[in-house]
Amino acid sequence: MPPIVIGIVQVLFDGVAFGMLLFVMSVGLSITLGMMRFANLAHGSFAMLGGYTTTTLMRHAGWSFLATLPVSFVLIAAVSVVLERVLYRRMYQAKELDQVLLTVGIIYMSIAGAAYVWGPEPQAISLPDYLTVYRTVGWFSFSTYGALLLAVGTVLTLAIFFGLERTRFGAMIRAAVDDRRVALGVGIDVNRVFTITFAVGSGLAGLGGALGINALGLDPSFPIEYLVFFLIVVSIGGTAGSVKGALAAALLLGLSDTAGKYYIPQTGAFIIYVVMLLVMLWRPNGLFGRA
Amino acid sequence: MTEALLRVEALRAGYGDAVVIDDIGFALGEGEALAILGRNGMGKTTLILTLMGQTRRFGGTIALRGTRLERLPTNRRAALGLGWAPQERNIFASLSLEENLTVAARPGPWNVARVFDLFPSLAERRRNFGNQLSGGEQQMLAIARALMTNPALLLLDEPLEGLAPIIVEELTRTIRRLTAEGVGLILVEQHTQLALGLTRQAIIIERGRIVFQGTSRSLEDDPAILTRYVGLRGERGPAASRGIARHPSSPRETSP
Repeated sequence: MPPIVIGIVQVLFDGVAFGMLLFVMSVGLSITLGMMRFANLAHGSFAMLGGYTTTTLMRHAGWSFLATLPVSFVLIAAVSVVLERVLYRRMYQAKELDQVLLTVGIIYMSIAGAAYVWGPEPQAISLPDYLTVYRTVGWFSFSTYGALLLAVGTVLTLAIFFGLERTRFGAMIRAAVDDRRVALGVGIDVNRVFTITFAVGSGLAGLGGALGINALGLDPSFPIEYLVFFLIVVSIGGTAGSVKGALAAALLLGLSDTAGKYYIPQTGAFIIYVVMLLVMLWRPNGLFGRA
Repeated sequence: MTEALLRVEALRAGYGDAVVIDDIGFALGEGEALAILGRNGMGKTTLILTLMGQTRRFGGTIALRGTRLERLPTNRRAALGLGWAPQERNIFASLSLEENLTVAARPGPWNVARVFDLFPSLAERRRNFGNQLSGGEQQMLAIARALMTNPALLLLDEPLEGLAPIIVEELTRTIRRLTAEGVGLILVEQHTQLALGLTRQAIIIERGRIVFQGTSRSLEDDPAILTRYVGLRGERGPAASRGIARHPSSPRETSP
């Protein structure tokens, strides 16, 4: 097989895996922003905390990598509910600037807190052997870790779509995003729907942060470093809680970032901004945004 | 004294610091129907929104079957029995027609099968999404959605506005059928004659205050008050619609 084809398949494989990971991590932000108009910039702090949960359990309790993942999900979901009850709930009626100031403050607190507890250095985890090997199928070889990202990302993406598009609770979420006032008016307890959605979305961020440690890295600057990715997913996906838009944006971002770093490593990291600019010029309301 | 279905006393509400409705008081018995009339901008929709808890209340009380509602959030009021079909219909655009119904469902006699029986044309479009429906279908869906909450009292805010005469007729028949089945009704409507034909009692709101309160029949026979506070719009309505209003007891003869 010519190298160019192998390269393209490699970029597709890694790019889609990265895109799925980004989608799982940012879908909660997209939905809660659409439903409550609440700009939780500290979403990345939840993802970081999920990562540290996994490293701590592996290092100090001897857990296996895969076994820590559900714990990261549940723990971050629980932490987010406490934060929502104590802090966020008071800010739903506040102006965007107040919300941004609060959540940026939480980002810095989480950065300082993580540096204090876990130290400023990047965390490395030793993945089990079966996740560090390369497999070859025909002429294409891939890492089993990349395959895990792709598999878990695909399963979660399908589960998220099933939950949102095929269940009554998902319909309640969409109704609350469409028209919060009328959703209340037909008896939907929007606060409860929001709390559950927020918890699941935050838990998914935590799970993504844990799952992606070896792809995304993990150190206290994580919430700032990946904030831009989450915001790009939300903005070019269309901010009105559009899940299809968020998936399309996350895949576009994953593919363009991977392709940029693969083909033009000198400037690769900037490709995502070019893509974002082009999309915003083409469709200012996002890929699936409403005018 | 028997407990009223809805009792409103000295209600005063608006938006921000502005008072839009003031000193509103009325009572409605079980299964009764009340028309709220008045020109545009006089506070009719604000009254409905205040009943649903979507305005700023400055004073007064709202009681549904004796339960005080005025401090409860909107979704609790819906759960306790207020079935609201908003003026702009506000169909959830990301939901299929059927999902628009199921998200509102609460246990009771009304379910998807029964509302489809009431609105057969909706059944054929159950997989369609909100933005693929005609104005008449959206209005039917808004009423059907309110019924899915199994309300004690339906609040219909200008359900006939902007609809073709034939749809107006169909909806009028449906609303009459609902009141005949014992669902309480508050009907805000610009089609004055139709609204009076569908209700037993009526109030007229002028600049946020009640200026007439009495039976719909007495108001029908008082063109002076109607002209003064409501205008003659009802008289200009389609002839077929006026026919329905004049013969509330025999809906069949209005078939086109």
